[in-house]
This record gives sequence, structure tokens and C-alpha cells, in this order.
Amino acid sequence: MKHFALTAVAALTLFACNTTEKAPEETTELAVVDYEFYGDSTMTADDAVPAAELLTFLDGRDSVPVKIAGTIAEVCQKKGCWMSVDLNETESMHVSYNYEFLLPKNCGGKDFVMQGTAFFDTIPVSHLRHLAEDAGKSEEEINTITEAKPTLAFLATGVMIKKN
Amino acid sequence: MKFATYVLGCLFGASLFVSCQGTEETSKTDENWEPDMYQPSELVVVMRHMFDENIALKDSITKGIVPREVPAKYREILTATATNPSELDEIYYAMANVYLENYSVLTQADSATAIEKYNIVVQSCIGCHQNYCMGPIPKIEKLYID
Repeated sequence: MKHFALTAVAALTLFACNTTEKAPEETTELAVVDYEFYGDSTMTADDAVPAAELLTFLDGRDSVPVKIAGTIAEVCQKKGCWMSVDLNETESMHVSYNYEFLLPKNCGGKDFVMQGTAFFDTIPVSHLRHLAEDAGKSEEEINTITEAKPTLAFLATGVMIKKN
Repeated sequence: MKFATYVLGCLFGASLFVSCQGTEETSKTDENWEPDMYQPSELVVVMRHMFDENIALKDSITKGIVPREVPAKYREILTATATNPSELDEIYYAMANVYLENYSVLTQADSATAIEKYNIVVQSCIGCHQNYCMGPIPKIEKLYID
């Protein structure tokens, strides 16, 4: 009898877990993705290129207008006036919006879609140090920056940040 | 019998553990996330005001209309609180005064030299921003008259 009772409790608990796991699948199709808009509020998330595929998408071009989707790696901790996006394990892209708008200071790690122009640029040491300071790096870390950095950059006209 | 009870007890415990992991996943969805926006400092408010007025000024200068006084609000760049007050050193105040002087020179320009004097005013904004906050420079550059 004790056997039966314990088996029943364990089975019911596992069943309850399975039911809980299935619930999100059922709601995924109906879920509406909620975005916060910054800059151009008319843009949509359609046809965005994954950030990880951006270098391939550029295909040797110096600059290209494009809409991309990815995850925000870092954001300026003073004003939210720039962010960075990881393109792969070793390369990241600096994103600015020329102060036409600012992003939330707590949007690091959030998924986004943005449109604008991707281009190759070289960021001078003075600006790299300024960015490091904005990102909250220590003085020691800032002093290690001694060379300009050739990088893929992005000038965004609009950014959509996924809220949930 | 005791062994079977022990095994089932472990099964029960394991099932609860699986259940707890699921709860942790759910808690990572940030459903209550609210954007934490920068609250502009006094100095940023003054500079945004100056930028907006300078867009109109650019249009006026292009038409040959020259301002005849330095707006009183602009002098607040010497007193307004900055986002990072410790950044405002002697060089900042020197450059802020240069800006005000250049604007004063503009107020005395005739229509023939107004564009040149106006562009010097814009250049003094950019010169200061190159030292303190480079982010807005591309936006300020739009104020230049070609």
C-alpha cells in the first residue's frame, strides 16, 4: 500500500512537471512579442539579418544599410548613448545613434532588432578610452588601451528592444 | 520493502528538483523589465536647448539674419550641473568662455561674414566635445553651414 501511494505521488508530480513544460509551447504561437521603440518607431522586426551573419552579409562591402537582430552585449552606463553587439566569440560591433535617441541603461542582455548602416571604422584611442569609461571599466583597464581599433560599426536610425 | 521505499523517495525528491529547475527558467523571462532611462543633467538640458535654437539660427544665418545678442540662457553652460561634475575642469570653463566670446563676435558680424563667424561658433562646440564627450559631435556637425 505504501508502495502504491509513493508511486502515485511521484507519478503525479512528474505529470504536473510535464504539464507545466508543455504550457509555454501552447502559448508560444499566440504570444505577441512586445517591443520598446527608440528612434524610428515605424520599423518592424521583419527580415532582420541575425547579428552572427552580418559579416557574411556585408560580403566585402565597406558599408551597407541593413536591419539586424541579436542580443545587446554592453550599453553605455552613463547615458545609454551607445551599445555593443557580439558578432561571434571574438568580434563585437560598436553601435551609435548620434544622440538622436538614447537607450535604457539596463538593456544589456536584451534581444533587439535595429536598422541603420553597418560600416567599417577605426576608433581612435581617445574615443576607445571614453567608451571604456562609459562602460564602467576601471582606470587600470582604461590605461591598457593604447591602440586604435579597426572595427565594424553601426549607425542606427531605430532600435526595437524586446521587453519580454 | 525498505529499499523500495527509499528508491521511491529518491524518485519523488528528483521529481521535485526537476520542478524547481523549471521555476528558475521562468524567473529569467524579465516580464517586469522596465527601461532605466538616463535623466538629463542641467548641463545636458541647456545644451539640448542650445542645439534646438541653433538649428533655427542656422536657417536665419543662411538668410542673412544675424542675432544681435548672446541668449542669456547660454551663459548657464558656466553654472549648470554636469552629468559628471568632476569632469568640468579649468579647460572646460575656458572653452565654454571661448564659445560665448565667439557667439558675441557673431552678434557683431555683418551678413557678408555671418556664415564664417557662425561656423566658428559651431567649431567651438565641437572643439569642447572632442575633449569631454565625443558622442554628440556628428549631430553638432549638422549645424555647419557649407
